[in-house]
Amino acid sequence: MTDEEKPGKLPAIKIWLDTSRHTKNLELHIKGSSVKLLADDYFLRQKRISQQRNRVKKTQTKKRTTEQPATLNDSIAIEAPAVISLHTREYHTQLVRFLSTVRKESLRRKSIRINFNNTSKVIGTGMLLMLAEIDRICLTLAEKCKVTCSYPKDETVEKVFQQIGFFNILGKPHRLEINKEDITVNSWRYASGVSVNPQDADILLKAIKGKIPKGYLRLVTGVSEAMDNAVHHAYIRPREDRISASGLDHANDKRWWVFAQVHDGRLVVIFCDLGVGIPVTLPERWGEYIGDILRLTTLSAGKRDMKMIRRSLELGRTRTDQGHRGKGLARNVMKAAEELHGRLFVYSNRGVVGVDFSDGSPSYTQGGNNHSILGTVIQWSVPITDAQELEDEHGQN
Amino acid sequence: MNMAKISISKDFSEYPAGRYRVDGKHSGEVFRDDLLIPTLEENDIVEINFDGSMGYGSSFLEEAFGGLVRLKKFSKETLHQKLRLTYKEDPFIIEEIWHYIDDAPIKS
Repeated sequence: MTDEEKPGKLPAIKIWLDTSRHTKNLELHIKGSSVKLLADDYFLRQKRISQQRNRVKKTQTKKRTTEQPATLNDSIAIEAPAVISLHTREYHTQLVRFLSTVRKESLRRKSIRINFNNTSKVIGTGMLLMLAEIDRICLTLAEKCKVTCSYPKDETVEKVFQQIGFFNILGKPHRLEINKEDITVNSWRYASGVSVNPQDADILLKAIKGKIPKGYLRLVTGVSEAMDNAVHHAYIRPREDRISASGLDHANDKRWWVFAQVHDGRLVVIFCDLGVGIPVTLPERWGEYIGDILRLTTLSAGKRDMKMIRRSLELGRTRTDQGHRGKGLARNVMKAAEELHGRLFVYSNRGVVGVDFSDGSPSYTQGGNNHSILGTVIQWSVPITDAQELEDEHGQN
Repeated sequence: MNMAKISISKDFSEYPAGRYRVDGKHSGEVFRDDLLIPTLEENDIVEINFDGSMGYGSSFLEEAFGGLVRLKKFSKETLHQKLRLTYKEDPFIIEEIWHYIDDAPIKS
């Protein structure tokens, strides 16, 4: 056995050039096999071809750049999803893609027309996210891009747009009258602001306070807690979109949006901010991160966000390490939902976590989505029981 | 024995909210420094009525009451002697306020 054939030892490589043939091509021999080296003129030819190809590309690009301003100055119509909601993965993806297109085009076009012809259903969480995004675009890019919309074919959707002030944001006149019969529409209240001052949500808070029994006042407090959270913790860094990077006024406002409704024996509050999201504001503990790796869970971005939301709902997990500051999402909203047998849904970036306390003990639903909402939407709903209402009436008497 | 009464909704704001002065003129820090501390210094007993407002966030309450101990303005014992808290609309909040006072970390 020669040295070359011994196991565990790499064979020596023999290389020589065969220049014996009378051709322009060379042959490189590497231990038994030969590789043909092409003549110089082949490479020169290829180089010439590629140069010509590049030349064509350059001229094409030039042409396009001269055409761009003409096309981009035009308005564009963007079709809104049939269902504006975050509740299923499909609806979530459709809405997030739609909003991403609106954001992108608002920086390129002079006007955008949103087509709501096919929109037949709107669900609170998705609706608030859409309203927040479009409100932000209108506030930031008012001088650069005009956003308009068509009237939805569905009458209820149109009434919802009127009631929550969506048409006011877009400067669209109201056509329909909202009657007492429109009970699913006329009980919604909307507010928005950039401070922790509850007076910004005065109409909404007073509407809630007037309809909920005594002892439920902490639900009103929950709204101001959420405002506080949004202003102090949600906007610690600019949002990861082009509007934030544009440096325009209002692009990085610490704004929040809120819907509230007391209807059918239930109080529903939906709160939205377009900040960096809970998964970013909540520091990841190294131990947990390593634990995730050790469990060999190759977490997708959606699942990772979901886990972070879940952790934020645990008592004591906050962004600040100061013991007296920020008692976390758990202290503010989760506890109220737990005490009052309510339900809580948290959508933040790609993750979603739902907790239901209807039966006393918490039952969780959770998931991770492919696309990020680039913000946080929290919905909590609490039953206002007849017993409480009676108790309240007796108290007043 | 001097005694004073503070009705937050009438004497301070119907919308108390926020932690720091920069959060607005109805924040916990403003209430503590501009109204609560002077009243506590001048009186033996201070009765605070929380009714009539639009609710109290934890940031406001912690800064206003927990901050008294945290910033060494008053000891926990002194506050237990001086403060009388009433809130008919949401009595649980009173427990929460005493929790903020008793558990306040004291700066060294």
